[in-house]
Amino acid sequence: MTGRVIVITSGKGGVGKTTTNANIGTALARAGNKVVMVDTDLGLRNLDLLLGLENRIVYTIVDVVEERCKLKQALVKDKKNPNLCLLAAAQTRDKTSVTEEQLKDICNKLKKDFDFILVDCPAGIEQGFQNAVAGASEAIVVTTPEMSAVRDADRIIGLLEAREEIKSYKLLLNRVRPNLIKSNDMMSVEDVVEILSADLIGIIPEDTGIITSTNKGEPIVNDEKSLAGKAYNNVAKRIMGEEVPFLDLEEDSGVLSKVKKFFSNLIGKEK
Amino acid sequence: MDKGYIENGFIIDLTNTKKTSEIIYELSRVLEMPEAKGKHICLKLGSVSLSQAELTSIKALVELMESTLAFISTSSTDTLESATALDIKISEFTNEVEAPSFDAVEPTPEVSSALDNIFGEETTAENSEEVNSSEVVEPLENTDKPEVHEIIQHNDSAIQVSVNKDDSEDVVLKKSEAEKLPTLYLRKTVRSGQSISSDGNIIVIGDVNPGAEIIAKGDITVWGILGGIAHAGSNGNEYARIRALKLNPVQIRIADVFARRPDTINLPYIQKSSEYVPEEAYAYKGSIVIRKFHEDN
Repeated sequence: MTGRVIVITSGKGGVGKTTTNANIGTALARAGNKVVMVDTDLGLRNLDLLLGLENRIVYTIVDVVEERCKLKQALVKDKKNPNLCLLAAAQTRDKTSVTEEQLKDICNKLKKDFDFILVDCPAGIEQGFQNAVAGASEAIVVTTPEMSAVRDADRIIGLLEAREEIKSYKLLLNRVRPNLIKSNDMMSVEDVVEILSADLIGIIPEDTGIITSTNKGEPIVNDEKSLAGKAYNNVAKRIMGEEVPFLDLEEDSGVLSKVKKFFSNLIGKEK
Repeated sequence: MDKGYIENGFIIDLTNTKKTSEIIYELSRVLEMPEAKGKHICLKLGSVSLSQAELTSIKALVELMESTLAFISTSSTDTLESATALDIKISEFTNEVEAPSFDAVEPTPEVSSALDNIFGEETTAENSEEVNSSEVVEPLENTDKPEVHEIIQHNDSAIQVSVNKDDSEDVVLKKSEAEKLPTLYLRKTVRSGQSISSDGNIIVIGDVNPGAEIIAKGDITVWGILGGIAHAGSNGNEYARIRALKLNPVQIRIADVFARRPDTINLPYIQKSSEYVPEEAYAYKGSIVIRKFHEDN
């Protein structure tokens, strides 16, 4: 088996890299894939929290690199899904504890046993980013419809394009608020895609459920009713090669909004 | 004339405006503010002569923005007559009332040309010498470089920059210098953090995003939106030019002439549109001038 190594990165912090990682990983595992998530955010690890696995971590990626344990011993199995594993980051160390070569080596070893290796990248473009990208051949760039996040995503895409081992990168637009876009207070999906000239793999709406799910340590894809959960499930399907249309994020489907939409389309055409 | 007294309203001082289009632009800018909604508006119009039709448009604009036009003050007899005919109250403001003043902002060329189309070219005597109506000039704000400032003061127009046909012929002759240089051809999006420099000309097919910089000894041509920093003629060739489908650079430098994007249009990213008119920037008398390539040019 040769798995796909996908790095999830963004440049800017707080746009939802780790949330995306936890949810896509869970969704892929639920679809029957063998998935391992690698947290490379040494010193600021979060992924274990989002999955509710913090208390099960015995060995970390640094222990593997420094040969205090075998790779398989360090993999933490998910509570619900036996297909899902986590290779946790060390909280007490910093980014220099692991080198690019060592991470590449770990990814290559994991490729043999897993379908998907999702690498959670730290914010920034320094050593941590270089490490995370080293083993990957695909990338998902997470951004939000804000100037600062788009600027950083642009920088990251530039760095990814410069790396030969990254064969493809996709854009994931997080925390989209259709109401704000409608009132012209937020950049629209089209604007962001045009600015970054990259292919879109998902549009995730802002969802307060994310906060509760993070606090509970339960990825939101497990909640069938959540719109964000559905959107993440669709992203997972697209990663697996299915063609899924993007969700209609219109929150209210009343008669009034339909009439408004009709007229705005009409005006749009006249232009 | 009645003495001005208004309840639930405010005075907009437009005495600094010289053209109808400027009045309309300023007014719409002020009325856009949420505080202006539903208020009585008093206009200080200054010396501009307004016809009945123009005054009707101004009144309609105020009403469109959900405000009401209470009364106006003017020093022009034409406006006075128009207002009387339209039954708009006229008043003299006394200095006891403190009027909020708004810094006059030069409308973007698109706006002013659109407004000029509606209201006709109404440049006053001082302005008509400076503005060449055949070419739309989009000036960039000049930075505080001392030598730039001097020249601007000498011209006595910080914002409007004139273009004379005779001088542009001179520019055409010298621009062939750039033609002798080699050209770097790039077909990609130049992204934030990337820097491209060349001893010759640079052509980019794609966007140059904010945070990127392009430095060339010759010309720079971007077939897309130029949003970063562009420096043409980096070895001191002041005849170098910067062209793009849309110029939205943070900074432009041509030889030693330097300009930055005005704070009024400080948007790092702008929407792509099929209606862009290609633009060209060049140095002229120590300023950077942007002109548009309209079909008639």
